[in-house]
Amino acid sequence: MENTNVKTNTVSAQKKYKKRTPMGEVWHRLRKNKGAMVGGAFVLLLVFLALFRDVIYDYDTQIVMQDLSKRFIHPCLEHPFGTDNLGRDLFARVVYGTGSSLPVGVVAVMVALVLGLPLGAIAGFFGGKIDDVIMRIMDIFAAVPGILMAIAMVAVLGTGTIGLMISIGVTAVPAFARITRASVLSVRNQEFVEAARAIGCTNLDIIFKHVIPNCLSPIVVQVSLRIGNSIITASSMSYLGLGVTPPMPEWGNLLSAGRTYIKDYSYLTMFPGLVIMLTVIAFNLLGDGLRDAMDPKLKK
Amino acid sequence: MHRYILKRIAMLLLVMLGVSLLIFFIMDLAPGDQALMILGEAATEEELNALREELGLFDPFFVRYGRYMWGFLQGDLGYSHKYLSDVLPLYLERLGATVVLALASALFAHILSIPMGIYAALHQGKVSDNIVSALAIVGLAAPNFWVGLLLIILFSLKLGMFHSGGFVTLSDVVLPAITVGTANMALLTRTTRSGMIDVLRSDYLMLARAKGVSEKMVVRKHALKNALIPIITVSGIQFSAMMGGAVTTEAVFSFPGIGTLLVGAIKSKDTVCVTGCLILTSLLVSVTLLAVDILYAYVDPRIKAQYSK
Amino acid sequence: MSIENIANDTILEIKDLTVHYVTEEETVEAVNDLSLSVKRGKSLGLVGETGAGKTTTALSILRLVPDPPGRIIKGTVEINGKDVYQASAAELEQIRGNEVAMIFQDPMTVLNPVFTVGEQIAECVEIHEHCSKADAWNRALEMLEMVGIKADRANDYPHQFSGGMKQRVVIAIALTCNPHLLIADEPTTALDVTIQAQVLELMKDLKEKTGTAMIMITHDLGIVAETCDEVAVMYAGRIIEHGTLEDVFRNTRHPYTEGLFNSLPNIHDRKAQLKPIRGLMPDPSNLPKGCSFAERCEYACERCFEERPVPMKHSETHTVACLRYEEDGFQIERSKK
Repeated sequence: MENTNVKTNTVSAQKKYKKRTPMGEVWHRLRKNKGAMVGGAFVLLLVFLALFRDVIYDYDTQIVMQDLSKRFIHPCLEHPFGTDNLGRDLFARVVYGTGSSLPVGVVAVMVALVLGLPLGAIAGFFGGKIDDVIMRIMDIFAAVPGILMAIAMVAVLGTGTIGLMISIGVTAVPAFARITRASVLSVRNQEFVEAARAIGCTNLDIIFKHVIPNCLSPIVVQVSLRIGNSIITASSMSYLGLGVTPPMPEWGNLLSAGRTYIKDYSYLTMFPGLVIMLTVIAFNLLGDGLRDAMDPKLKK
Repeated sequence: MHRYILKRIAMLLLVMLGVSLLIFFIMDLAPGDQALMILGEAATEEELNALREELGLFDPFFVRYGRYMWGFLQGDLGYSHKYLSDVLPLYLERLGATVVLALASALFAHILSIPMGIYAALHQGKVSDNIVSALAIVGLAAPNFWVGLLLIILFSLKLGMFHSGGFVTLSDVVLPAITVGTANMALLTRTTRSGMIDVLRSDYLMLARAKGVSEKMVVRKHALKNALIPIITVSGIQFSAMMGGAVTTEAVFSFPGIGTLLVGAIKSKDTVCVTGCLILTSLLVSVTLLAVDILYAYVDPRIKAQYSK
Repeated sequence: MSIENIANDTILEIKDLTVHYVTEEETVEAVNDLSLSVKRGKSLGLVGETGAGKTTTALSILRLVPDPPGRIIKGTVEINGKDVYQASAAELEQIRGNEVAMIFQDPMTVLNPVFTVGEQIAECVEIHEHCSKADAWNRALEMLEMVGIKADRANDYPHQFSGGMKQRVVIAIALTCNPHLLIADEPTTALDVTIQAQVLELMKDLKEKTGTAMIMITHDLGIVAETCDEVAVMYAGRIIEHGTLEDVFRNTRHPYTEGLFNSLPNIHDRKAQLKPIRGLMPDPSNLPKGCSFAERCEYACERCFEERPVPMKHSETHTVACLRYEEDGFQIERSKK
């Protein structure tokens, strides 16, 4: 009897103050940020295109099939981005290329996250010698400039999507390890960790259930900002001929192909670059918005 | 202070040892056969094996690594069969172009970004601030090889003001420098702006004004010297990164720097050249970063005090 | 008294000053219709709790209220007869530091971390006395000695000093150019209790030596009793009681001032219970229509909630803003004793 009373009381109290979950709170603030919403919408569109590219286009007839009678048509209604030296529609190739560029950026960051997050968490949580060893190894990885490291790794893993994902991912591991370590250090000595230890949680439990969830926000922000960066790196590698290789379209290799005809058909280089830029802007706006939404203190 | 610097140098040497091991290990896994490169496709398997034996390629990993490092310390980084030259002189020759490019792009980035960042901070929330912030967002997101291509289209093909590639006269640096400098400029503008905004809100500027310091001097003397600290961090990281060569930009402009050297070597599987270049570049980048860290101490007395402890 | 005489005798004259902080979400009415004056060589204590608008008042005297969000809605501030808000940039720089100097609340953050303390004192001399760098430096060393810091520490940076020492440096900066008026904004709040007494003693000494007028902003009535000739009590952006030390301390009139005294521990009767003022100061972005203190006031009547009181003269020197005194024979508890 008493129990139900308490329950109804809490329910009515919740209604009264419109209590939001932490995620709800973030969403509420993020919604007010126009830049982040536009960026987020663009990202969703890209994800949609990447997932359904083979539904939208037929690879054999619309993406790679050559039609020399339609070479170098300038942008027009039928071919919004024009056609290339082999008569292929550039718009279709750019849209289809989303499915090459976006996954590389996303998976590369996931690789970095999966490796960097536990390493940073362990280093920060245990401190001492473990911390020293892990962070010195991270220093070694960070000492080699990112794109050079990726190039060297690609030499081992081979060009192509998978090699690209891992190579770019590995270069970002130190960044994630450092960010995670820093935030773990900042929460490690707070009371709720002491409390968890007091009720007998194991170290692993504490790290994954109590510490990491409390330092997620800088990591989430970093993920969003890094994806944009990784997409640039991936397209750079493809531009250099060390990433996704033609005829499979990818934004970087489309640009590289357009380079040859830059003198007379500059539109071939304009559009793929523009799309890369818009994508990176979208991820950056989303990342900035998330940072402001997750930590309102930082905003002002 | 001196002890701190010595400690940092010791740490750097340790990290560099790790870096050399890492790079040697990765390049050891990479396909590429020195014997094949030397003798060419026509060689028989027996001839190849004989040469491999002679080169010590069948020795265990650590023996080969030790031999390589022993040579490295004496300035012998091996012979590049792609470029038909010893690696070290080859590297040093290309380094000149890379340093010129790095300096030029740093100059371009700083001259524009610091005044723009300050101006935006002083006009926070106004139209001019929004324009600067928008430019920074665009500059940060534009892939530099694309910026390079756009510059070629405009200044080289349409206006005919500059060459579209190579490095013959000093004017050939202009377009690559702007290309590399664009993203750096964008980031520096943001750093300057946010650093300046933080400083402009500080109590010590209020005291400076209360002393009767003119608004001009409040910004130029009191605020800027404080805002300089995050700016130095960012420009230090940028400059050190540029020491590694601007790989894509160099490729766009066929600029003979370290980036093109490396990409060429990778493509022709010249592992000796790649290994040497990567280790030297990492060393150069780390040394530049350390130099920036030490430079800090001279701008911010608090950091100097920390170092001296 | 002729106009010229007033100009000579009065250093600071604030009339109907109203300062708001305007942001998109709200307008904070920090200072409302505030009038004050300070005469040569006199010191005024500006008392009130946190958020009463004391610091905003101080900043507005030197035209230092950050804009945005701060806006001077109306009123004038005159220093030696010159309107601060009509002054040119050059005139303003002349007033700041030279005619009026300010000591800020938190010595930990007001010194520029990248300049030595000597440089920061000397800068003030260079601006106002147009002397050589060497002369300015020597003057800085003298000032350091005067506030009790050895001159050989002039080349040290602020982070090498303790809080109390930093506040001494700030005081040295404020006094270098012999200002006519010194505004001290809670100069001891951020310091340890033992250091507070030292710094106060130093300020009293220096004030006597230099003969400067002073506005002492504080929430500590003890400091006021020790250092001031006049007292103005602020509440929610308004001065609610103003008079000589004697007027305010012995003939307290305003219920809020009474409340302040009641919430002080009584040394003579250690067993007496503290009587805190109930409630909180109203939200300055949403001030009530009537008297701001009415909600917390023991004596409030219906009219107090409807009508805003204006300052009324009780004697030549004593003004109080309380509607109840319009009734004959009204007295607060404290004045009955």
